[in-house]
Amino acid sequence: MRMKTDERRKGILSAAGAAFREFGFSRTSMAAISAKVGGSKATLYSYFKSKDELFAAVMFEAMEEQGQQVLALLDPSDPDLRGVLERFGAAYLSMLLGAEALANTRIAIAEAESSKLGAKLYDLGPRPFWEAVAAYIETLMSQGLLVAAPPALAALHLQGLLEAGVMEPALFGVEPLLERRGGVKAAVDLFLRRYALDEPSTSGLMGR
Amino acid sequence: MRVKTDERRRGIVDAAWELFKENGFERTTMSEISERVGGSKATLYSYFKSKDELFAAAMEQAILERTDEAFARVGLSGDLERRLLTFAQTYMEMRLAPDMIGADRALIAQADQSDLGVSLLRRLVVPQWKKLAGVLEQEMSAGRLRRADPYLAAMHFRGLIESDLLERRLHGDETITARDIKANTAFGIDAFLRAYSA
Repeated sequence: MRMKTDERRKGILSAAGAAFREFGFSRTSMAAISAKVGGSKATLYSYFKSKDELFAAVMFEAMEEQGQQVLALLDPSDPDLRGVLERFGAAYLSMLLGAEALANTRIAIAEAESSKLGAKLYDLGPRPFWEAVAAYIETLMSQGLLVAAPPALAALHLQGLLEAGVMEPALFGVEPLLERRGGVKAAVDLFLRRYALDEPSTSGLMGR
Repeated sequence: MRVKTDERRRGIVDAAWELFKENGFERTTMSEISERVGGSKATLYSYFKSKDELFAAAMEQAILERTDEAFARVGLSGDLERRLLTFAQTYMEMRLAPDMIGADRALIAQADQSDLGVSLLRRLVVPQWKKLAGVLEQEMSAGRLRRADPYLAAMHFRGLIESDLLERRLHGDETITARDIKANTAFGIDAFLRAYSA
């Protein structure tokens, strides 16, 4: 058998990703993917045991690097908390609403009806991402920069505020009603009004 | 041709929703629906021009049946926090119900090819949340909430009570209980009221 290589693995992931996005998950077969890559089905299966596993790897590959870059914006030593959260929020939404990410999320949701794939993708992506945000929030709480509260719930509030009015239209394939940058500022402002200690609130959008 | 009646229309919508729930949107055919209703396909098509149109009507009915009263009652008098809690729980129970999640998945799965989801947003979802925005605006005028964009406030309210139960449920998490919903909405509303307090 041929040696497994990173390059070959990458080739499989990119061919599979394109096929999933074009035809959807259920209409894409392992045979079609291996034909596209140009190899035997046996080779394909030596890299990925199942179509579920292959799709999970495609999604992970597409999102992991971006996700880490977005999380890296959460620097607990930066005193400009509002600025940090606004940059994080904008980068998060850009990642979430990118065409590729959106197509992958749609597949994960559609497939959750009949398989464990959706749950697996959630455990690989959103769950650890928001756990990392919660850890950042916990650090700020322990430094006395945010009020004490369950950090995981605070993180989910930040998520809910950032996605409010944006995520649902995007999943349905339409531009949100709310303007993106103003939406992020307003979401962060609201988060800080709830969780910050003595953070002066800007009027901005909220004062309209 | 027979006269179209509301009752008959209602029968079609109910039968269609049952079939969508049993077999999913994609696998349900207009023939099956007309068979279940007990009539000709021509009659069925005289009420609904397409399966999409029928699905939209059925989903609209399912949403309205479960939430219209809640959207109306949240504006009545009484303690604001209590009203918001009652509303949020009714809303979330509808949102996370298995049939609504199934319908949502169908809409999301075919967002590329169909504008069903978009038209549902425009015709039903946005107007419903505008009702809540109207209620929040009254509270702002009465000085119980601080002045802000009422529709944005309604979206924040929604984001706070949905996060992250809706996302987990859409991804197949079957473990969410009524208690989780209650705790989550209470915590979300607490955050909302603190952040919007006058």
